[in-house]
Amino acid sequence: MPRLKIPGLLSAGLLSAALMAAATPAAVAQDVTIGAIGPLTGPAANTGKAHKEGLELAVKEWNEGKGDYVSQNPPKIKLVMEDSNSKPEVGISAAQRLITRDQVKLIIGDTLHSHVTLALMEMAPQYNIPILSAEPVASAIADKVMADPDRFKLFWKGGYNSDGYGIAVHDFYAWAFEKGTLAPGDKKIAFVVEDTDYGIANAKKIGELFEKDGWSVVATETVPTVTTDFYPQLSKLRDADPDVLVSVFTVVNSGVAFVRQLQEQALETSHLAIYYPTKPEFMAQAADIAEGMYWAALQYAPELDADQKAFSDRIEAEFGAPANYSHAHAFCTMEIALRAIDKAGTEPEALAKEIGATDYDCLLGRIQFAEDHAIKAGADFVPIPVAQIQEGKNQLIWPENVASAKPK
Amino acid sequence: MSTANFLELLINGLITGSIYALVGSGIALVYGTTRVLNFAHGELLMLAGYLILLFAVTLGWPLLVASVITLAIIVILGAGIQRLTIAPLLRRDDWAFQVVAATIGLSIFLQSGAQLIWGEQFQAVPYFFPGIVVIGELRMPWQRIAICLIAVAVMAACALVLYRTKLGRIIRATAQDSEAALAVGIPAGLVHTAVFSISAALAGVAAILLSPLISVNPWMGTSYLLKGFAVVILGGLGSFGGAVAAGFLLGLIESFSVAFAPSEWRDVIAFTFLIAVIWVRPNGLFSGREA
Repeated sequence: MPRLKIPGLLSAGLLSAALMAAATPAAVAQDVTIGAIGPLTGPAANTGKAHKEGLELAVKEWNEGKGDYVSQNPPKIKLVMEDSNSKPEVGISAAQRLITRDQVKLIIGDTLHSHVTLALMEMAPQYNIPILSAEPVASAIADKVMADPDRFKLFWKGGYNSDGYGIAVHDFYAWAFEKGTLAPGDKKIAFVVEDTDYGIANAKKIGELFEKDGWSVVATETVPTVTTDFYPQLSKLRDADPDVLVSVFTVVNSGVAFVRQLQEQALETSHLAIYYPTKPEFMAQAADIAEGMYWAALQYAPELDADQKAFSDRIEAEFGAPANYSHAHAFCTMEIALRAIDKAGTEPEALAKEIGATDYDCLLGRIQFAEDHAIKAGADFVPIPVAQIQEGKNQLIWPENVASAKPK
Repeated sequence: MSTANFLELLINGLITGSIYALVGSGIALVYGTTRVLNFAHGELLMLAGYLILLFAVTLGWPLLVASVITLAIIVILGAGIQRLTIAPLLRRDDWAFQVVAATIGLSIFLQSGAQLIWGEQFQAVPYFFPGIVVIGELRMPWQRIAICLIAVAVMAACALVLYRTKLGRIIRATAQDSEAALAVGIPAGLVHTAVFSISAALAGVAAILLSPLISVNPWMGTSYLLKGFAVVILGGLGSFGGAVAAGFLLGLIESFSVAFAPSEWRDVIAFTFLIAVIWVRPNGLFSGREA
């Protein structure tokens, strides 16, 4: 048997020490790569860019030691974001690149589109990777989870369902009619929405709730995204004469064009807009022509909320422009992911389970997931308030407990 | 349907159609003369949108001055694209596919470049012609009426040049047979460049008229390019007059289809009509190779 020499003993000792050190908790944490997929090109790129900045700020602050850590030694995070170009097939290719090339442990995607998410969520069982969507709200996503919970155990939906919007819009109008703020007239409701799962799902849910109250849906006009000529639709609506008109667009210039043409046509109806007024450029371009318009949901209002103002300042310091709702939503989505990785590590099932157990107060409200894997909406969770543009500024008008002004 | 509603749909159709006609006639002019389908035509429209935004809104120049400068730059750009991208390829035997690939590549390059330079924000341009015309129940902004009137005037001027001037005769002669035209001393290469410039100018006029309605953005040319191609096919490949007529026809079909069916059927109805026309008249409504 050969005798160990001193250098040999030293080497063995160092090796053992290194192995022991590697086994201690302090050395467990390793860099983790998170992938994200959102529209970085195409007409929705404006929102995708905001998402990217929100995600990046969350990661930056986490890596700088400013995170809301659970473990003693949180892992350093690397973010790689790919473009979905608002197309499901591009989103799928992006996910494949993130999984195979970048070895990501979790995907946040799609950050905006429901129709892209409906395709992307299939990658979770196929590649055994947790996926967390951000802003998409279409209830079809949650319905798919409920239809096969075991298949989609790794998928979670970082936005509430379109039911949330539907209930908020319905309850707001019920309240406004009861208070006498608005008159229901002949109880006719109409929709002009973008031709996406998002637009259609919102119109369907709101229509169903109003129909239960004895209303009739007199028109549901779906238009391609980025439509800017609504004159044919408005001519049709003039004949239909709705008492309530709901419009849903994710691309802001559609919203600006719609509001402008609605004003030009002087249609006598109560107009409620969904989503596009969340964009600061909508207010910059259309605040004067949108005076009196109702919209959902003013969840991000730094002028009314100190925490959101502080967040906006951080985004502005980092990226040169103040934050909007999409920045905040992306930031909170990344926070969910970071806290779960910190707590559970990167084993897919453990990580997905930890995401599902989230109970966290973020910028937009308290985040908890429901049985259908979507975050809960409502006064105790993420509220969906209704705002009104009054004298060129947004004011919260419903629910009354959060209202900053009375409706006009 | 009330009379006011019918009139509204008619006017809306003519307004939308006038833009389709402007875009389509530019594509048709180039195709009729050079057999080149310019897939970057939409991006010329987009660039003109950013130029009018820069001159008329950011710099606050008078609209007429801003429009003239915008058109001048777009005309030069159109000529430059033809000379630097298209002309070298036309000398090759297998140029047809290469030109398609080159113009698609150019379109992607210009779109991405615009996003890089101006960002992904949609930029608003105020109405150049404020105010609303109210006649009974009919309400129409002057901006939309101006679109139709100016577009018709520009296309009429173009037609006048094409069919009543020496330049027009040269263009049509080159369109019929560029080699024969060359043999009688017509500089076919220069004519091709001139046609690209006129086509670019038509896209520029469309952009100036449209920008207050749609907000300037890097993707604004894409949907109009698609409609422009539809118009060119419907009117008859290469027919300037056919493209103009088809543009108005497509606009009217789209406008009236919304009145009788849900909006999502608008494009389905329009393109079904297009397919039906091609089925009956494979070369389009106004077939014949001409500029």
